[in-house]
Amino acid sequence: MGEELWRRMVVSLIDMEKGETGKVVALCGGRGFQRNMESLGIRPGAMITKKSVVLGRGPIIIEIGGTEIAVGSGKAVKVKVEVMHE
Amino acid sequence: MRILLIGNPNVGKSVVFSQLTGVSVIASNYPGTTVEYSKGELKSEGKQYEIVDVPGTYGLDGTCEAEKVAIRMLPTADVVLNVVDATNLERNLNLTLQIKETGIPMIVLLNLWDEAQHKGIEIDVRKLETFLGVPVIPTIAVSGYGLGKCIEYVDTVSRREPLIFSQSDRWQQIGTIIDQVQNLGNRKHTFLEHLQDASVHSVYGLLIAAVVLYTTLKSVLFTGETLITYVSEPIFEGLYEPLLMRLSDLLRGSDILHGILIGTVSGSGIDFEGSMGLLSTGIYVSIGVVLPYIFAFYLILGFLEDLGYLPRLAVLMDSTLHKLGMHGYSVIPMILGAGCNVPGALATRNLSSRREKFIAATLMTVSIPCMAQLALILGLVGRHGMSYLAVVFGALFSVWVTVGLLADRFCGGYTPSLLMEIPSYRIPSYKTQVKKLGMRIRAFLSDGVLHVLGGILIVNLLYTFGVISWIGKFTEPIVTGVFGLPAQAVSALLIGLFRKDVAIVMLEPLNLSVTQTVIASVVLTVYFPCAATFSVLVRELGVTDMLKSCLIMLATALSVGGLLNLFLDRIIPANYLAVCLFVVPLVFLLVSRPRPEDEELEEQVYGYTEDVVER
Repeated sequence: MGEELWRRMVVSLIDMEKGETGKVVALCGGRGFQRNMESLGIRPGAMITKKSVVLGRGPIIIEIGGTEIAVGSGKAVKVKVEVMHE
Repeated sequence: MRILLIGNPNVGKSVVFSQLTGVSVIASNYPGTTVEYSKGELKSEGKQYEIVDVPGTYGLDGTCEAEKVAIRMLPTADVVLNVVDATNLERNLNLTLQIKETGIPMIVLLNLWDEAQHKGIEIDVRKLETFLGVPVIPTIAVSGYGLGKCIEYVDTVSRREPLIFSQSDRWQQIGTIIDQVQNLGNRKHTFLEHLQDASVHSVYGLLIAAVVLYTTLKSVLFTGETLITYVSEPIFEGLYEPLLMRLSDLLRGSDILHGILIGTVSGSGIDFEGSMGLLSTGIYVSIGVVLPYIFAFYLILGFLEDLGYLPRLAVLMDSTLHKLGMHGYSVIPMILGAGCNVPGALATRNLSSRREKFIAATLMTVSIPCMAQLALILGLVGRHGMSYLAVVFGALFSVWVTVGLLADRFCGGYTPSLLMEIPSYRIPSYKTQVKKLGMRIRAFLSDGVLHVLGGILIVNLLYTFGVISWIGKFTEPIVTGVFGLPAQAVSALLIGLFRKDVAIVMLEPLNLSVTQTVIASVVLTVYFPCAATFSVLVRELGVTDMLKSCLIMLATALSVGGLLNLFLDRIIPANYLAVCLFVVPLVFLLVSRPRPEDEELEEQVYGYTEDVVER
C-alpha cells in the first residue's frame, strides 16, 4: 500500500524541496533561454538535485553531473522538474 | 601554425597556456577570468607554434562579449586544443562535439585529471578516443603533466568534413559516450565540500560572507599600515631622504631641474607629500604609500580568487544586486575594481546585456575607489579620526545604492537572472599565489609608477605655466560655491582625470579643513574615471553609453559634494552623518523591489528576437 502513495509530480525548480532529486522535463522559455540552460547541461532528461536557496528570493543552487550551478529565481521558475512525492 | 585553446569557462585554459608558452597570464578559480585572448609562442623540435588563449565558452553561440571573442577566433585555428574539465565530462562534451562538427583538427585535453581521480571519477581514455575520433590526453595543467605529449600530437591530427547535429542529437550522443566511458565511484564528503555547502547556505552563507569581507578589509588595512610603518617609512626617512638632500645640494645651481626632480625643500628636510618633485613625492607616493596597499590587497584577493570564493559571493549578493539593476556576477567587476578600475571595467565583458554592463561599469567607476587612491585617502582622512573616514565610505556606499536604484528604474533594457557555474573550492598553491602576486606587482611597478611620475610632471608644468590659476577663475563657482573648496583645488580635479592618487596628494599643500578634505576625497572618487579606465570604458561601452555614464558621474559628484558641504559638521556631526549614510541606503535597499522579469527582452539579450515563447 505504502508504495502506491508515491506519485509523480511536475513542479518548478522554485517549488522543489531542498535536497530533492528530480528529472528535468521542460524548459518553459524562449529558444535563447533554452540554449542558455542547455549549454550548462540543464536540459530535458537531466537529473538534478536542489541543494539550497539563498535568502530573499535569491538564486537556487542545483547539482547536476557533479557540478554546482546557481540559477537565478527568474530562470528557476521556468525549469520544470518531475519529482516523486508522498 | 596557430593553435587555439578552447574550452568551457574555468577549466584551466590559462594555466595550460602559461605552461606551454611561458607567458604569464592571470588564472583564477572562477568562470570568466580571461576576457581577452592572449598570444604566445612555443618552439618544439625546430618547429614554431603560435598558441592563443581564448576566453571560455559553453557553446558556439555565445551570449556575452567574452564568449563571442572565442567564437570569432575559432575559424582562424589550424588546430584546436579543447581543454575539458575531467570532473564534469558530460557538460564539457557538448562544446567538444560542436567543435568536432566544424571539422577543425582537434586534440582533447582531459584537464584536472588529478581532481577527477580524487573525486572517484574513472574515465576510459581509449574508449573516449574511439568515440570522438580524436586524440584524448589526460593532463594536470598546474604541474604540466601530459602537456608535452599533446604537442607531439599536434602535427598528426587532420581536418575533416564538417557535419552538423541538432542539439538533441548531440545530447543523445553524449549520453551514450558517458554511459560507456565514465564510471562514478562512491566517495566521502570532504571538509572542503562541507565548507562549500555552508558558503551558499541561506544563513551560514551570509555569516561566512560577513566574516570574509570583514577579515579582508581588516587584513588589507593592517598589512598596508604595518608595511608603511615598519618598512617604507624607515627606508624613505632613514636612507632615501639623506640621499635626496645630497642630490638637492648638487642641483642648487639649476632651479628648473631642482624644481622638477625634488620640488620645494624646507630647511628641516624634504616633505615627501608636499614637495611635488618627481624623485621626492613621485617615488614616495607610488612606492612608499601605494605599493604596500597594492601588495596587501592582491595578496588577499589572490587567495580568495584561487580558493573559488568570488562566485559564491556573487550567488549570495544576487538578489540584492538585482535591485540595483545588475545580477550577482557584477560583484566580480566591483571587487576587481577595488584593486584597479581597469581590470574591473574589463570584467564587465562577462555580463551579457547592455543595460547590465552599463550599470555595473557606471557603479564601479562612480563609487569604488581604486587601491592607489584609497591608500592616500586612508592617510589623508584617517589622521582626523575614524568617523571622517566612515563619512567617506558611507557617502560612497550611498552613491552606490542611490545611483543603482535609480538606474534600475530608469535604464532601459533587460538584466537577465543569474546562471553561473560554481567551481569547487581548491586550496590555492603557494607557488601560483606568489607568481600571480608577482605579476600584479610588476604590472604596477611598470605602469602605475610611470603614471604617477607622469602625473606629477603634468602638475609641475601646469603650475609653471600658470594654467591652474587661469582655469581656477572659471571653475570657482563650482569648486568654491558648491563644494566649499578653495579655488586652487581645481588642480586636483584636473589631475584626477589623469591619475587619482596624485590628485589626492595635491590636496596636502592646500591646507584644507577636515570637512573640505572629506568632500574633496569623495568628489575625486565620484566625478570621473582616471584616463586608463576611461579609455577601457569607451571601448567596452561604446561612445554613447560612455557619454551617458560620464553625465551620471558628473551629476552625482555635484550633488554628493554639494550635500556634504551643506550638512557635514554644519548641521550633522561627522559620526552621526556616517551612521545615516550607511543605514538609510541599507533600508532603501531592503524595502525596494527589483524590476519584474520580461521574457521578450530576455530573448533579445540572447540574440533571439522572434518565436519568443515556445512552450
